[in-house]
Amino acid sequence: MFVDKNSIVINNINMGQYLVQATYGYNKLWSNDSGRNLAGTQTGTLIGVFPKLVLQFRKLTKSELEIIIPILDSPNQTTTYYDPNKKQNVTMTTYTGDYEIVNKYIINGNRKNEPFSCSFIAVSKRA
Amino acid sequence: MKIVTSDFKEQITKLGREIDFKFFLHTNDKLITEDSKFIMTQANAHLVVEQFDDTEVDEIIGAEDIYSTSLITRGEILSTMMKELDFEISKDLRIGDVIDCQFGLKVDGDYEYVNYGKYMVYEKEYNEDTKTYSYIAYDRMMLTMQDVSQEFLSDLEGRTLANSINVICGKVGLSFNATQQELTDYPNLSKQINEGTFTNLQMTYRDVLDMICQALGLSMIMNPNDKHLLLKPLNNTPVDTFNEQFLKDTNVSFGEKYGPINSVVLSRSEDFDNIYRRDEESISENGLHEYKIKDNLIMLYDDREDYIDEIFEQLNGLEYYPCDFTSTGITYLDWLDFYNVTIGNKTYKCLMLDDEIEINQGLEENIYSEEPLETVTNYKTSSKTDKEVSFIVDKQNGSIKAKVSKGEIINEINLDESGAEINADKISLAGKTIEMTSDNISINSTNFKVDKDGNIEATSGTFKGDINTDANIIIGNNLYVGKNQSASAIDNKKIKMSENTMIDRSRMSYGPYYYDNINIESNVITFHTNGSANSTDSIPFSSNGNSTTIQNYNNYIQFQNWGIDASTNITVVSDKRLKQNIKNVNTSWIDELKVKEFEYIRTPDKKQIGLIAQDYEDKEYGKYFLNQDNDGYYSIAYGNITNALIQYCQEMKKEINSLKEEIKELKESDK
Repeated sequence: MFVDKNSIVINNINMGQYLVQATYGYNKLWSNDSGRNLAGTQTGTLIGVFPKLVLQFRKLTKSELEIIIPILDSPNQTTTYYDPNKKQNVTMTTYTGDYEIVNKYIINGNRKNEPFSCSFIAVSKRA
Repeated sequence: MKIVTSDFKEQITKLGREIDFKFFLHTNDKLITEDSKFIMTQANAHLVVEQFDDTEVDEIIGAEDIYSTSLITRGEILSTMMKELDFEISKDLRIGDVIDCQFGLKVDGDYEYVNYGKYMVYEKEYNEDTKTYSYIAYDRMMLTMQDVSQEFLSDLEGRTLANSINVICGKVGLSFNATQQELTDYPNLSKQINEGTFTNLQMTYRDVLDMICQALGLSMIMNPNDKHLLLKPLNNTPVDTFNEQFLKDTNVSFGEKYGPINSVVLSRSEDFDNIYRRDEESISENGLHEYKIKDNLIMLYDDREDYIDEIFEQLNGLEYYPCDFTSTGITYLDWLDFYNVTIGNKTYKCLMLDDEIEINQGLEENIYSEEPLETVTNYKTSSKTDKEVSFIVDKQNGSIKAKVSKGEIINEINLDESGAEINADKISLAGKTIEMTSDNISINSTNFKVDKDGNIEATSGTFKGDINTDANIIIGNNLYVGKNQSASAIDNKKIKMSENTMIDRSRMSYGPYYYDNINIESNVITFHTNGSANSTDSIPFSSNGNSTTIQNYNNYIQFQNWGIDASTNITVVSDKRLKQNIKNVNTSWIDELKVKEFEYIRTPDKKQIGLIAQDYEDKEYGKYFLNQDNDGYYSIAYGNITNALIQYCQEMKKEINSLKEEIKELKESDK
């Protein structure tokens, strides 16, 4: 179980209760002017750091899934997370990656689907 | 060079640099709509300038709305430079909107910005695929791209260059004021534009400013932050040095060094008419490197030497390496800045002429400069001043003037709509055939004249060849026939003939008869050979193989071989007023005259009767009719014998009458 239920809030919903784990990625995006200069030194413009959260969801019930899925399907989300670089909670606009849900049973109110994961990627660079 | 910190210069080469770009938008609701290109239309350009107010910033367009930007600086030395900004944003701007643009680099946590000044939106295009707008904007130099009226151009004539710049700027909404220091440093600012410089020309204000730039030896740019036009000289000192850290590892090239300029040439009519200034010491050390200014209208007159010294002062020593490289980004160099590029052990001194800064997600700067077009001047036909050589092709007035002068000698050729005029010390025409065709040809020189009526007047000369004419030849003085004639000032109105020359008589036919005529209408026919009245030289006459001779013999005319066949009387002067010592004469000596028959040796087939002179040479009465020439030959004045016969016959008549009376008396006495 994800320990801190309040550490990740997406669209005002605490995701912690649904998560097994969260992976925090800080991806650098380099400009196309990056490369080596005449001295052989690597040089280039850093466009920015774009945080990426990969959330691992536990087995969810039918009703829990119905809460999560609309968030995953929306084009953008408001995501709040703790950023150790900033030493505080940071809110950003994200978009989601593709996801797949495995269901071994015909969905009914008592059966849960298999765990799955989904990425939440920052639209803008971290300030 | 724009002012940046040393940290900026260091950070811009680093991996992980973070950049920013902003537009500060100035709008004015009173601007005309985007349908009209305000900077290209005379009618509303003034309107825009008056109503424009760019002090208020209405909006900031940040990097998140800017897709791409290119800052372009491009120009040649001795000209105006107009900066260009191409950008793509998601916002809809209007034609004529003014934007400030700034480039920022994160240095120590904060952004340090470089200001590129104001640009006016000139063109826009909507991109349907990306839902963005592409724009082209220029700095305020764009306002000088308007056409100038002929009236305005005429008004510039007579103004100084400084005043002309001032007037142009005032017309297009810019400002210019030459400082006292500039007037001192650049004396050509005080030169005046000649009358007629801009006659019948079409050009823009910027064209005029470009010509003024050349005449000053300077360039012009806009102050990035306001409407002030600035003079920009070439400063040979590099502002900074860049090493390999600033250069991308591709597309780096440097050409052969251009310069140092050590000769400046002002050229008219291509390479025909040039004046120059040279640094001979630099030429001997570095070879000749010339910079030529061709056909500048302001310097098209004979006062080019008033401009060339200052232009040479500005350009002498200019040198740089042409280059073409892509930089990782410098961003703070200005147009015409000199800078060094050091690669390994080699340092290249470069001049910023062509710069394009591309900013999208990253930063790249393409820097390019080339040398001016190479020119070659024939210095042997060039001069240091206009006073010796000038060749002006004035296309607007349709004339060509060429002049060469040395000392007091001036030779000129002028061609214009009224005709062609040549004034020269000597004019030579040489060719296999020279044809001259006109309604009238007049020649007026000291020794030879032909007027428009065809009258020819010559002080002296020799004509070789036949003269054939269907009209009269009227001679007002002497006609010399033959060579070796010596003209005497006291001899007037004569036909003078040398030895062995003849008057070839004309032949006139009258029915079956021919008359050989020499018609001379004068009171006296004089034949002189050596100028002596006692000369025995003769004038031969010949016809059909027969010849005779008239010669002067002791003031007598001798006819030899034939006689005188006259159809009228030959008279002798008899006026009493021309005679003296008149007395009666005894003519009894007539009785002693003996008439003989003979033949002349020259005409042995012709019998003659007459007297033999030697029979009387010792007779007293021989003085009345004997003459002897210088050769001792006698001739007889038969006229005097005839005169004596008059009295002799009269005396014989008296005697006959007396004898008749005596006979009559005898007959009567016999009755």
